[in-house]
Amino acid sequence: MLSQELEETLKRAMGLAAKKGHEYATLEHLLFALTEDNDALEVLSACNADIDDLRQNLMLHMNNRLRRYRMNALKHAQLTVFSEFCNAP
Amino acid sequence: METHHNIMQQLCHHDAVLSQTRMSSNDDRDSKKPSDVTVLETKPKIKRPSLYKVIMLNDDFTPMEFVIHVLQLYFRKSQDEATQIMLHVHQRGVGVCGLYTYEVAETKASQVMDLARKNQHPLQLQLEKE
Repeated sequence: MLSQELEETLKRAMGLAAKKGHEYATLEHLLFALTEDNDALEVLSACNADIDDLRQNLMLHMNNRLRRYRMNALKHAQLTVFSEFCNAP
Repeated sequence: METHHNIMQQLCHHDAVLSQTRMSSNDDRDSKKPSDVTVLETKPKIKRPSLYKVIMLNDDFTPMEFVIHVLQLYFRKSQDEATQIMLHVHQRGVGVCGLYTYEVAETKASQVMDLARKNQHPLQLQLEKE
C-alpha cells in the first residue's frame, strides 16, 4: 500500500506531464515531484543534493527534450514502462 | 640449542620490524591531518541523456496496413511518412521509426509489440543507441 504522501507525489508527477502536454509521465516528472515530497526531501538532503539545481535541470530537460513527445489523441499522459509500478494495486 | 637460539633471535627481529612498520604507518596517518588537505568543491558534471532509435524489423506475416497504423498512432508519422518507413522495412529488412530518450523509446517499442501480439502479429522492434 502506498503512503498518502507518495500517492500525492505520483499524482503530481502525472499532473505535471498532463499540464505540459507530454505524452508520457517519465522518471524526470517523478523525480521533480519527489523534490516536493517531504520524505524524499529528507533522503535527498542526506545525500547533499542541491535541490534547486536539480529542479532547474529537470525542468530544462522536460521543457526541451520531452517537449517533442506531445500528447496524442488520448489527451492524457501515459506512464512509461519504468513508471508503471505507480499503477500497481 | 644454538639453532633454537638463532630462531628465537630471528623471531624477535621479525617482531621488531613489524612494530616499526606499524609505527611508521601510524606516522603516515598522523601526517595527513585534515588541515593539510585542500578540498576542492567542484560543480557536478551533468550529461544530456543519450537518444535511442526505435528500429522495426521485417517479417513475412505482419500486414502492411497494421505497420502503417502503428507508425501513425505511436510514432506520429503522416500517411506518406508511415508508408515510406513501412516500404523501407519491407525492402531493406529494418527501418527507423523514431529517436527518443531510452525510457520513451522502450515504452513505445513495448506498446507497439503488445498491440501486435494482441492482433497475433509477430512484429519485432529493437532499440539502438544513436
